[in-house]
Amino acid sequence: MEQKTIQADLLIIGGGTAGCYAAITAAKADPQLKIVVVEKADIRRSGCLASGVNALNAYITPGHTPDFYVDYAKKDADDIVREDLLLTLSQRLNHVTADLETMGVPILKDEAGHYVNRGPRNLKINGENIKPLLARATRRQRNVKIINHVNIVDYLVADHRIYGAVGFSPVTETAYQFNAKAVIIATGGASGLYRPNNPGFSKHKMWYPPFNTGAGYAMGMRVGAEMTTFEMRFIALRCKDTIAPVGTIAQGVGAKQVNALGEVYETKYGLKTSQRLYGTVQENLAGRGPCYLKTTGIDHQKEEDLYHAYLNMAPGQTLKWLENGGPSQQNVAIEGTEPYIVGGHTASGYWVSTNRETTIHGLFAAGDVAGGAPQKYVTGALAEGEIAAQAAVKQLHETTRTAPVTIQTQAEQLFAQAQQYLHNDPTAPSIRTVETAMQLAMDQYAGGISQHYGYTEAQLTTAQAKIAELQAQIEQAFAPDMHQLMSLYEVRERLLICQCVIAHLAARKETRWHCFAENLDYPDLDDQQYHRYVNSVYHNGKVEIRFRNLVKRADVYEHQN
Amino acid sequence: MSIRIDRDKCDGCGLCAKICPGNLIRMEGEGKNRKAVMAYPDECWGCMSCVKVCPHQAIEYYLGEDIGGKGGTLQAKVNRKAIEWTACQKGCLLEKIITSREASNKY
Repeated sequence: MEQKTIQADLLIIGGGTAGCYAAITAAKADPQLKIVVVEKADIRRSGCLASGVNALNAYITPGHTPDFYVDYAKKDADDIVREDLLLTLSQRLNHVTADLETMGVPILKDEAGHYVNRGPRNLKINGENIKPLLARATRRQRNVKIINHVNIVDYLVADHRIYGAVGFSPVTETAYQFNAKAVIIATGGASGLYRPNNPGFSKHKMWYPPFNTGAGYAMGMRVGAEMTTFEMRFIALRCKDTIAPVGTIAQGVGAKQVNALGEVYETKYGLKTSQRLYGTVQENLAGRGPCYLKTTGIDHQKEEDLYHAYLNMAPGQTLKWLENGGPSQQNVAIEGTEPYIVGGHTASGYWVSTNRETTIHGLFAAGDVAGGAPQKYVTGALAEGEIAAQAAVKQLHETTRTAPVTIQTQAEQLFAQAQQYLHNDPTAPSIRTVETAMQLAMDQYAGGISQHYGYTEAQLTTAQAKIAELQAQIEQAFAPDMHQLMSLYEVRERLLICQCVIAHLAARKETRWHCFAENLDYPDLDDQQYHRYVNSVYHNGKVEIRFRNLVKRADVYEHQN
Repeated sequence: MSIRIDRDKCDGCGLCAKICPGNLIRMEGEGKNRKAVMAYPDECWGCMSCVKVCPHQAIEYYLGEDIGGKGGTLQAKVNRKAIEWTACQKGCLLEKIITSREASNKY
């Protein structure tokens, strides 16, 4: 295998929403810095925004303040948020939105030139082309080098300080070593942990990108970075089969959630993200399913508008309507997805300081991998990219360190490990077999769709035993080519995240969020014990739990060690 | 749900293989016979990036039968201002929809 070494002042891992904006911010802050963005696919269409997005859901509309947004996210997560992170993010939402507009993203305006709100926090846009526009703005920065098609698998760390990362091409036989003085991790959350809604041919027709495998979480865990709130899983309420968003139908044409009897049930259970989902699960369990969004009777114009809106973000839904009859003729069936770990929607991810530094010195986190700040959406990810980049640049100006010699040994060990996977026994259980077994174990024993998202301690113990077995198996799996090598690393990452999720679910002995963490042994809220964060550090193969007290809104949080 | 590549329309430019967020499309063959191949049809997310980037409309999108696909396909022809979407079923046109790239969504 060919080996390439690349030097950078600042390495940004993941060229999605947060990563691109971090690169732009750092490049503008210091045109002398050598910045490298490394991306598993191609930054023009990678990450969550690949197919587009229909609205900006995090914006401070006229008459509101950043505190209004913090209050909303805090309430939705029943207090388990980092208010310092939410506030610093909310303060930047409008300025990053203005920047998106200058990049060319159309935002709906009224005759007076003011943005048209979709709701108290939302703007109407055309987001089909948002990622190519963001990529173009990144490419225009002269001191940013973009390296597409390299899958980063591990950090290079010594004494809790980062010195770079190692990765492989999914196409050619090339290994990469990146040496850097600071690193921003901006990879995605983790999909594919649980058995999906459509486990057959359409298994990747899921809510979140199937290519976001949680690499950033797993790499952090392996070097002992502290993680937070992995028990707050995210489960989306979606259009059945196509797993397309429901919000556009609900908000666009005012469609209510109804059960099979035609009764509106959403008001019965509450309107928080998890409650909307919980209501749907409960109606099904009570024999009043399936559940729908009531769209029958909408006029022709509204139907056409829905076709257009979905083409700009989830074209499969438009095709489904055209093939099977439109929403004016039949209600849209809805269902919950499998659970995901994603810091852009819930609070799971790296435990970071207010300026987004992780517990590994020189490693900053932004977007879906950064914990504590749910409801980020697109603009929140941009804001975090900016915060992390500014802090990283400041640190680069203030400190210089040279990598110890052990870093080189580490890199060589990681290359040797990849060679091992490429030469393992081909008769060992396949990567796909291990992945399917993992998803089944998580589904049945860690609160997947088949369990209506609930779990018991006894089930979690079984889940952990099964995941441990599969972790041993994946080390023996054979990768016949570079693409399969990427797949092997992805399953390995997911297994580690599963281990962390199980430990966190077991540690929060209460039910604070229905479905997201439905602990059947402890069905009630326990504010006395659990009005605090569940954090963890991976050490000697075990996930060690640490409880931490809530951080206040006005606090500037810095790591103590 | 996945995509199908028409070998006859494909000129081997490789744009789709580069842009696929899952690295699922592979270039095979040499010279005139260099063609894009969907190597992992069951790993497609359905993001349409390849469908939109193909300069020859050689790629079509379809829903798997397991999620209600009935042979319908979706193609896109993209220019700076608009995307022309064509939905067909068994050779017949279902609908043509033009979405502006400059106008915001109404919803």
